[in-house]
Amino acid sequence: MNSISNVLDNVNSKLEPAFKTIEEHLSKWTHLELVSMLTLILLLFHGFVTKNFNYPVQLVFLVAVFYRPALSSSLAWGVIALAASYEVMNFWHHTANHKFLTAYWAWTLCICHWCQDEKYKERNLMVSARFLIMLTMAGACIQKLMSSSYMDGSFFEISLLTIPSFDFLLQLIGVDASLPSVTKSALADLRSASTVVAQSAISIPIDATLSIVAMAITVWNLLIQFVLEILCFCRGDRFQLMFHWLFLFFIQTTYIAAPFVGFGFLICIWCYTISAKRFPRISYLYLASMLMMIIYQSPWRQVLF
Amino acid sequence: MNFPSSALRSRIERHIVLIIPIVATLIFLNQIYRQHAHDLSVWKGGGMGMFAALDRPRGSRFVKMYITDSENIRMPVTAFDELTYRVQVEPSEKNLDRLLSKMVNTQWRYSHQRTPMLERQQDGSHSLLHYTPKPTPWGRNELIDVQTIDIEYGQIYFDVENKILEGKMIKERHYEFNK
Repeated sequence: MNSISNVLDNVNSKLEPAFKTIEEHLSKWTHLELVSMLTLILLLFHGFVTKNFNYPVQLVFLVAVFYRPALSSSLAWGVIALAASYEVMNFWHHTANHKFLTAYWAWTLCICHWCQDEKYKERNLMVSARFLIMLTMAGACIQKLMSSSYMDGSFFEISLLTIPSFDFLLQLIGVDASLPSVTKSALADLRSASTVVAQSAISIPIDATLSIVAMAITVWNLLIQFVLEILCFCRGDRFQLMFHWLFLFFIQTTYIAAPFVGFGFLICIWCYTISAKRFPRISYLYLASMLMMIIYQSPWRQVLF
Repeated sequence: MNFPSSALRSRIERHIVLIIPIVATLIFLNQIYRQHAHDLSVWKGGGMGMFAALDRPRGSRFVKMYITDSENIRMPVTAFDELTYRVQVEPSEKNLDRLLSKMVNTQWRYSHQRTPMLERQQDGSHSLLHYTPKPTPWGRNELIDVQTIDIEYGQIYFDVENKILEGKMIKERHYEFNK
């Protein structure tokens, strides 16, 4: 234990100048301003793809770059939140779940900036961020527990073979390189109205290793989200520290394999929001995680594997 | 005049925080309800169910549409992408009826293209059975004397034990014109 704490102290002292520099830069922003700017960047690159949404976001961003008080305009956030809500309500069939969360978060910022009392601004921001984290984790756990195709492992067995981001994992565990295309072709044939498939059933030669890995990911994913939900609910410093370290681990392990950056950015912003005042140095790791996600998006898998 | 008054504003500021949790929870509960009542995909509707089930609308849910002409040729149809997608997301009776109504009220024409009807072999290769005319709702070609319209909605399941992908038809619609 002593050696671990020595190593941590050593790392901490080596990172001290970096922390000081980050602190110095961040001290020029209020907490709400910084959260607003991070959200605006998220909306700019990973918001909705329609002009109705993009024009107001681009305009607010441009103004905010030159005139920072624009970030604190409840009117600007109201317009963005309205545009996001319009997109969600009109195109909900096409809208991914994290876009609903993005709309909730835009409204949260609108409300926080509308509040005049600093105490309520801060409290409303923290409460909403924590609630949205808990809703996301609880929702994911409930849906997974209710889903038959998740609990029996079939979801990850098929997803590992059909989602291109997982190709590197298949190579790591030595899965036959033709199996993903065999699976995709089987799915396409079963969906097609112009292809006859005997008994509407196709056998997929999945080996035991892939099944074991898929089941391990299934259990791990559910378990970590369940533990995060419990830890987020507990308010003590020790539980919160455990929550943040586990969440950082969850973010890194999840997004290195599946770089769905839009949602990743959003949960990093929430976690930054709830950790910035209580655990400033941990909050910097969330900012670093956002940068890491951009790196994970690069085609490093294709280069290495 | 100061509206809202500072006392009222203070009360609103204290309680307004509840709005987001209430709205988000209601949308989540609505998704769960529709998932069970109308088979809404776990992936859609704000229920936080992405990566929780195999029922991705375009991945493992399918809608097959056919029209049969006066010569009894059954032709697969590819059209109305948005409506078929809606059925894939939420195969409610209402959505299926809307798609059927759209197909019934469309003037179908023979296009210049042909659809190859294939048969999947054991080894994954395809053999050509025959070609059928490809119907289209566009253009000025010869009108099809449509006899019947069929819509099949189904889902692909994976049998983990036997490693078999299986397509199962769940709902269907059949319409006969000259009845």
